[in-house]
Amino acid sequence: MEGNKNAVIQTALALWATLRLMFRHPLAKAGLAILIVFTVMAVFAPLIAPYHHDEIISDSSGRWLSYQKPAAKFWLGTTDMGRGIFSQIVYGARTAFMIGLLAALMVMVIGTVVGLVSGYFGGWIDQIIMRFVDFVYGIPFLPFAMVLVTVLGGSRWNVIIAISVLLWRETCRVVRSQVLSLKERPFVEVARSAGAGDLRIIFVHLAPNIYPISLLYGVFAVGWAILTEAGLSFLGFGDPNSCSWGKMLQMAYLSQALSQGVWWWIFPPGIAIVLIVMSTYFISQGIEEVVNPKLRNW
Amino acid sequence: MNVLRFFSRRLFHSIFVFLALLTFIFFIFRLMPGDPTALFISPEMAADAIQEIQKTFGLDRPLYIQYFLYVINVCRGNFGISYYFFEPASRVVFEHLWNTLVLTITAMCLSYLVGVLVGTLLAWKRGTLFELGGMVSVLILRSAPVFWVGLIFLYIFAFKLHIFPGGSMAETGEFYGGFLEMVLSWEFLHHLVLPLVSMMCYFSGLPVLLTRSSILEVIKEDYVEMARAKGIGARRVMFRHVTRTAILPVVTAFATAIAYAFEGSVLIEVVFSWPGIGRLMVMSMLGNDYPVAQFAFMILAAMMILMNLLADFLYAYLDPRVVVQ
Repeated sequence: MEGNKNAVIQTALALWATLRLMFRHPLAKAGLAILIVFTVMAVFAPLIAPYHHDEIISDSSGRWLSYQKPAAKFWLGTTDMGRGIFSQIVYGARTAFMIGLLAALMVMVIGTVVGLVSGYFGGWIDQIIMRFVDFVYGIPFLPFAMVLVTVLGGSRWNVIIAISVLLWRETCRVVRSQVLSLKERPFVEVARSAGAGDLRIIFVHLAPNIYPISLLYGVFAVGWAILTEAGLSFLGFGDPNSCSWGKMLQMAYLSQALSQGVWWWIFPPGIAIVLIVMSTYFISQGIEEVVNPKLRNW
Repeated sequence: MNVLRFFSRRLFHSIFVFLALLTFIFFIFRLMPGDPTALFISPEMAADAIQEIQKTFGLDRPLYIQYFLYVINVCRGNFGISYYFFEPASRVVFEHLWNTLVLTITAMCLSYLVGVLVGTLLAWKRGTLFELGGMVSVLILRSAPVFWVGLIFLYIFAFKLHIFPGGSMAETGEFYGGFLEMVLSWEFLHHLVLPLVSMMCYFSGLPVLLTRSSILEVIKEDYVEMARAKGIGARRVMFRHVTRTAILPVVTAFATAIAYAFEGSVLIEVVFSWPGIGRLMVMSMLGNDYPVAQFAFMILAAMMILMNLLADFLYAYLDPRVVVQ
């Protein structure tokens, strides 16, 4: 009992130390700040957004307020249908978060588990898994996501599946190569002679050493997933019912916003994507400090 | 001997992967919703006329027979008839493939050229404000969706400043006589600039980061210090001694990056109405023209496998230790 309690405290302290080390990096701090802003946006979207993302805003005589320039009333202006762009950006943060976090979680779990199993057991298990990973590497990412979304239907969940079903390949390869060197270390030998089974060695002894690197690839996956969702939506393969930044750009492109000079419809969604993806890169710089201590020169 | 075994094993793996992909492509495209014959068949048609059309495309047979025929046809180089163009799918795809190759390969070569130079510069100026600024701008460009960068360029340079055309490869109604004539014409280059630069914005990020970190590794080596100690100037040491060694990982990354460039070009081609294979695939997916979509997908996959194989070979050639393992 006492030992368990100590172990929990120890783990919590170790995690805290890792986080502190991670966010000591100035870029990681900036990334965290950006991420917090978007989190607040996503969580409190209905409170922050003045209108619903689908609401058509009209004046007292019922005329649509189309193509309003950014002003005090409409922070970022309105679209061709008189929808508030600021409100769409705020609601779009929800989609971005959902896609980014869930896809990254799936990528991390699949990639880490498959990589651990493949690297630990070696032999024919490793051979089969690695040939399968080769196969997955041969599939073009975006075209495949287009095909899969067409087959499964364009909902947000299917977009998440289409993204994560290929993206785990990188995590898997990196985790596997880490395991290959880790499993030769004495502590694995000690655990085995103490009677630990394969599963216990994999998930209790090896996995904790893998977490920082799989977290790193998970953070990259957040950015990738958000970019891919934007691309899919832009091409017309997204969820038709949800409001995403990529879909905003698609609507702007299709309704000739470029030639009509409606710049306030094109810039904000892209800037939102840049900021959120950039924040993941910044945070990943912090994780890299943890993974690779040689970099700690700040 | 070892080298030969390494190469033949990698080649065998690639062929295996490609065969697995062929099977996978067949089944996933049969799962597509929407009847591909909807283009020609209307509900008012007589039942036997409908059957006749389905027979023409071989859609009346059971799935395993269709698969068997598919394998035979693929071996013969027959990839079906486009439902939309009424031409062999392979001809339609290959016509578009050249346009993609011109765009992506030019973009990648220039990206890596610029990337290596900028990366070297950033490593050289390490620890300065210049480096921080450079790194942050690279990260910003890598975070920007490539199609959005394209949209911004279109907005500024085509619709505001009217310097560059707003898409496509030629003025409306104009056609090029042949491939060479097209590539060498002034008008083509004029159309190429915006999609090219948009792609470069994204793809030059990786070589910048790779070159920089690789140089920072190499710079610590003894032979670099030796060269400096011998009194060789900083510039000469940097470009003659350091960059040469440091460039190895960038070269292998180049081959892999070309594979990814083909799929990245999908979005750019759509934004700029560039008649390439990626845009063709998007249009044929949206228009249920599955033979074309399927073959375009197959070609994209084949390119990826080929480029990954090439990267492996290149890596083995540049770093022979790989073969021994």
